[in-house]
Amino acid sequence: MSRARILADYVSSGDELAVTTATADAALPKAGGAMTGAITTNSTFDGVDIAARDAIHAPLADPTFTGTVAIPNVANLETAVVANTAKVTNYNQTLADINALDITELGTVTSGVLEDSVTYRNINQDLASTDSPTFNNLSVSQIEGSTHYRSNFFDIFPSYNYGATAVLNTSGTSWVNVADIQGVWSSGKSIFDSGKLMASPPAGFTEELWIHFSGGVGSGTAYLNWKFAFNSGDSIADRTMVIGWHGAGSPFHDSAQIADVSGVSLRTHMTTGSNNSSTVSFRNGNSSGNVGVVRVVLEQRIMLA
Amino acid sequence: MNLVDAIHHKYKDDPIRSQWVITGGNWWDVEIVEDDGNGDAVRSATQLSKAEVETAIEEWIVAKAADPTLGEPPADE
Repeated sequence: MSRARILADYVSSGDELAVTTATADAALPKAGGAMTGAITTNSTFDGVDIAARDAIHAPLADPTFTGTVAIPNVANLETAVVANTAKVTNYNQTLADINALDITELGTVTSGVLEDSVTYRNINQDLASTDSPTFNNLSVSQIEGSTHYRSNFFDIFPSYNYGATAVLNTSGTSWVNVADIQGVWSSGKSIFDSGKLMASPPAGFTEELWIHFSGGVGSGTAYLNWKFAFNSGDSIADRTMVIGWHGAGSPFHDSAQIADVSGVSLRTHMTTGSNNSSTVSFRNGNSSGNVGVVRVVLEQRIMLA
Repeated sequence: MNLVDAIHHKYKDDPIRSQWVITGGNWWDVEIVEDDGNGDAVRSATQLSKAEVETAIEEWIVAKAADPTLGEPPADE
């Protein structure tokens, strides 16, 4: 080999060494270091599929879970709701609304049926049509479409001053007093007094007072007329209940509600003032035959207010 | 009531004694009444004695026996 050739090879090897040395100086050492440019890969990075991971992170604002997600247990649900009030503000019910439902008493609901032990708004019993529920205090406005709740009855004829089961009058038009209701009189107690049969109805109820009159006609074509009056005026005006020739003791019947007299009810009339009374009278409204009375009953109807 | 029928039968045409109230089956349960001028019946000064009532009953029994239809309502009643 010529000297010139050896010198040329030496120069060439020196240039290559310089290039190799520069590359080695720019490499990341195994001990680690800071990269100054982006790193890309079409494979995995330490086993992580970078592209798949990014696909999971993207929809976090509206995530969808396909597996089982643990939630707070029911016993602690209210506590959880309180702690997350801000998360339910987009629903129709506020926390105050939910608390107002008293759902802590709701118990377990299965298949839409409340368990027997459930207490909800004080309903703690079955309410099927075949049940007989019990309530401590029931407020109703009607029963079977009627406001009539119950009645008290008091016989005012026969009475001790007549002592008979029938009173008869004949061929006259004069009124005969057959029954009296006496009001306040000294120490005497009225049926309208507190604690008596027809005491004022309790709160939530009103009353109606009625007279029921039974009697008949006989021995000629008689007219059985009757009326009810306060000592201040008529309450039930003269009315004919039967005409003809029948047994005077036959229980023909008539009923009428006791009306106020000059704006005063029978109760007020009987329980205020002194020596007030009311009377049932009858007469034969025709000039023949006779008429008879067999029973007169006072009724207090307790009405749902 | 026989007492009613008896008094009615005997005194139905009497201007005073045809007005009465009977409150029982005894002779003293018969009370002759009159109008007080205000439309109410009050006790009359005229009253029947025990003998008058018993006579009325006896006459009624005889009359009823003779005519069983006496005091009975008409057929169309």
